[in-house]
Order: sequence, then structure tokens, then C-alpha cells
Amino acid sequence: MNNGNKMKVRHVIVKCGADMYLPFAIVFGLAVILFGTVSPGGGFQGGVIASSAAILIYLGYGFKTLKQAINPHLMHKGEAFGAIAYIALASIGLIAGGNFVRNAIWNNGDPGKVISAGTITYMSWAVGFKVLTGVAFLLMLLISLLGDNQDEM
Amino acid sequence: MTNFFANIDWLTILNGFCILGIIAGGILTASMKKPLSCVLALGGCGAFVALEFILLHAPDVAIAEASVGCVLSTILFVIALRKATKEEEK
Repeated sequence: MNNGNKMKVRHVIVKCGADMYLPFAIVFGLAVILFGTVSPGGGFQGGVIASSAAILIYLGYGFKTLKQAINPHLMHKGEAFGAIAYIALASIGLIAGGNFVRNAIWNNGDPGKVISAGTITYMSWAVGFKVLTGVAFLLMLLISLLGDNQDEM
Repeated sequence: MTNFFANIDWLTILNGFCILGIIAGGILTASMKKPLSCVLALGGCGAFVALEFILLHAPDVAIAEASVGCVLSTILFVIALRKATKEEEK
């Protein structure tokens, strides 16, 4: 509140709206990731939905709180972990004597249940984790490029 | 011609409404003066595309379009616009 032309105090409606939509975004995104193989959606869509929580925290509380809530270095490492997990799960098909993304343990569970597709379920979860952390890190990088985050809140 | 109008129902009307919304969103995106209005019109166009995907029985693609084309690209464009206008003021 040093100079009048810059808006530094967040509006209460924006803060309350971010508070209201934050749990719905996270829970809906994680549900889309978990049920990715048996319902509409999948890893990519759920990851993008869940990573919009970073934007909601930024809109409501500013960049400092976002940096305290989500560690960017942990997000960067988590993206690499998701990619490694996808490649490792896809390499099970090679070990079992087939192609690269061959479904190795295909005969577990009933059709229609969550764990019923062998390695495809776990590969979908790995893609969801990779997209969640990657898009959250990308959004934090873009917000930090704005340059007005040092002296707010 | 009479056969075409005999087969019309509410689903066809809703399809036509969605396609008209997509065309209107595209024309508004190309013809708006302010850049922020262009970005918002592009988001509206993405919302109509998502609705059309649901009507064509592709809810998978509809979720992707609604989350990426309607929310994420709008946010990225708004952040880029804010950065550009801030550097223009300096």
C-alpha cells in the first residue's frame, strides 16, 4: 500500500472463490487420474485439472504463499520420477518377452474394476503424476517471470 | 428438402447451436480490437468445442479440451499479456 496505483491487497471475493474451488479441483483431478483406465479421462487430463490448484493458490494468496505451499525443486524432481516410472513399467513387457509397452500382467481383476488392466493402470498413474508435477512447475515458472512477486502480500 | 426438415430433432438443433458458437468464437477472436478480449473469445470458443465433443460421444477428448483449451491456454495467454503490457509501460 505504498503507492495508490498498484493493487497489492487481494480482493476478498477472489480469495474466497479460490478457497471454495481448491478442494474440488484437487479431488476431481485425482479421481480422474485414479479411474483413468476405466472411465473417461486419463492421466493427462487429470494431471492438468489437479495442477490448476497452483493457479488457484496464486490468485488467492500470491506468489510467496504458492512458493511455501509447493516446492518447485520437488516438482521438477517429481516430473523426472514420473517419466522414469513410466519407462520402467513399460519395460516390464520387454522382460516378459514382448514389445516395449506390452501388457505383462493382464489377467488380474474383473473387467470394469480399477485394477483390472495389468500394467496399463500403473502406467496411467505414472503419466498422471508426471503431468501434475510438470504442469505445476511450468505454471510456477511462468508466474515467477512476471516480476512483480517480490513485494506483494 | 422436405426429408431434411422431417428428420430434424433437438439433438440436431443443439449441434447447430454448438457449431454456430464455435464459428462466432473464431470470428470474435480474429476481429476483436483488445488482446484480452481476443483471449476471452478464444476461451469461449474452446468451451463450445468441448460441448460439441460431448455431443459426438467423446467425453475423453471433451475433458482434455475443457482443461487445456479452455482453462490452461487462457491462463497462459493472460500471464503473457500482463508481462508484455508491463514491459510496454516501462
